[in-house]
Amino acid sequence: MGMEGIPGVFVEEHSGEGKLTVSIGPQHPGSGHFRIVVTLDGDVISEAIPDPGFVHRGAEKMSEYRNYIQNIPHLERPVILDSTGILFPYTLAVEDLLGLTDKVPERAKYIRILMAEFNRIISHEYFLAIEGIFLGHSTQFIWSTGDREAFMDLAAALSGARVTFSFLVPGGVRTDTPPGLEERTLKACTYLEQRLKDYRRMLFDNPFMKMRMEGVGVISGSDAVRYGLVGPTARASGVNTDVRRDEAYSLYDTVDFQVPVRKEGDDMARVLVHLDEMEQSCWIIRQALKKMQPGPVKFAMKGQMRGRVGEAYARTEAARGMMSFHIISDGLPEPYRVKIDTPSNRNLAIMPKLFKGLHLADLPVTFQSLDYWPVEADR
Amino acid sequence: MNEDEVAASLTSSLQPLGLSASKSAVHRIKVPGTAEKLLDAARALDSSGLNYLHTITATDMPKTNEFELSYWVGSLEDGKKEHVVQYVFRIPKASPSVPSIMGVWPAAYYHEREEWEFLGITFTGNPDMKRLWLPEDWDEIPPLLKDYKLRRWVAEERERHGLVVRGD
Repeated sequence: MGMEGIPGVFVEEHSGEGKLTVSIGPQHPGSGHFRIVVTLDGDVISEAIPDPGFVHRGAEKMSEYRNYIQNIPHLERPVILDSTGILFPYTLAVEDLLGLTDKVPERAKYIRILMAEFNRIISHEYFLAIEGIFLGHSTQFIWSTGDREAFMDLAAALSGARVTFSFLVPGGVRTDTPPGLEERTLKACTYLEQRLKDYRRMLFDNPFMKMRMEGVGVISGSDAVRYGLVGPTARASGVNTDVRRDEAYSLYDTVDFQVPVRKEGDDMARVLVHLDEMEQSCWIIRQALKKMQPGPVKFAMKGQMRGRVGEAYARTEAARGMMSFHIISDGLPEPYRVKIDTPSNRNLAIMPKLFKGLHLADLPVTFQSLDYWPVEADR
Repeated sequence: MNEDEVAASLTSSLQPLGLSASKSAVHRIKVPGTAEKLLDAARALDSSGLNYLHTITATDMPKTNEFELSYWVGSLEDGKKEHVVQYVFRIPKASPSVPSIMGVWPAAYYHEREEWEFLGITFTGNPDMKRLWLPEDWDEIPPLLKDYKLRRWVAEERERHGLVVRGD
């Protein structure tokens, strides 16, 4: 197929102005399918227009045709790397509609915390690996991909799956913890905490990395709020937001943790916030393991699940930031309308402003530092 | 502050517009309004510390021939950050037009484009009412309208490609 079959520009020269419009993507070495059309003045970006939508599947429409249980594996698909992240708000919203909010057992809530934090570490390690690729730092890619396995094994021990866990269900979690999980988890946390020190020493206290990332792609705190940014991207710009602490859903108020916030707002700050968060996740996991008491892990429901007539809005802190579900029900087994608000979708808003003025060579690293996942944004 | 206290303070700042806020669920506050008052209400909410737009949900309500729009706004201030405010109103499907709130919250840019694309609601003031998620050559009705039947589409596609699915 020739270029004429694909809408939009590929390379276009602006005669007399010395500017060049280049289409970058939709195929990327690490991030998924996404295109940015940049206009270059020399090697400085004078305009950047993001063009998402290459992996839009209509997840919201499709979920209107599935019942609340069938929607669990279906809704994981947009965010396979952080499947607990997307199922957590969905489960909370459905529990609200089904009147189960007060019936979720305490042990199930702690197991949900465990799984959410495992998933946060898995997603953050993946982020670091891909950031390594975009920096041309293959050691970081190999290290992070390898260390991620420890937590994927733990999540697999809990749920039976390595990537799409389908572990959270309305009323609790699917299964109880297998024997020996606590020991394995503590071992993995100790290992990760040591590795995070190695990451910092080898990778981020490194003058070359500092040259590449410090002061590049700065987002101011007021922009982060006005453009509605979430998650590590917002926290790296000094915005102190974390739904786990602010709304304290699912017993997050019984564990003690800090919300890492940095002021710089540059690529380096965004990467370091991810490192800090993994440390905090280990700390949360340790506490959750201590607080867990034996007991049931699921409220057993009978009959067909029908939501009350009404609506529910639930939000949680997924790995990439605040994830929320607005579900409207008309009393049928299927939801009437599902609105998924994903962190990548929200962080998209800053891209035209952020990329303007960057050198083209800094674009991949800055793009990846937003932890933008096209499938999650497109849904 | 609990939901009722936040709702009371919002009601006092929304009073000049004739709107009021009330608790709708745990950590949720509802402000029923109208499309005409949207911009003024958004400015009033913004100056009360609700400056963190989460999302916009638009829903097709074919029974009453209306669209329902919910604007979910949060805050970063202590005492308010655990709550989310929903500004909700309905517009007739015959004239699906709403003023854009990009001037108050630039975060609305992609959310408004999305609702335009999925439901055909025009946001006056948003400069780019054009394709975002759907294919460039999409020529059917907006897909989140209830008239757009997914199963019919699947059956038509199967027929077009000559697919036979076991169990049908």
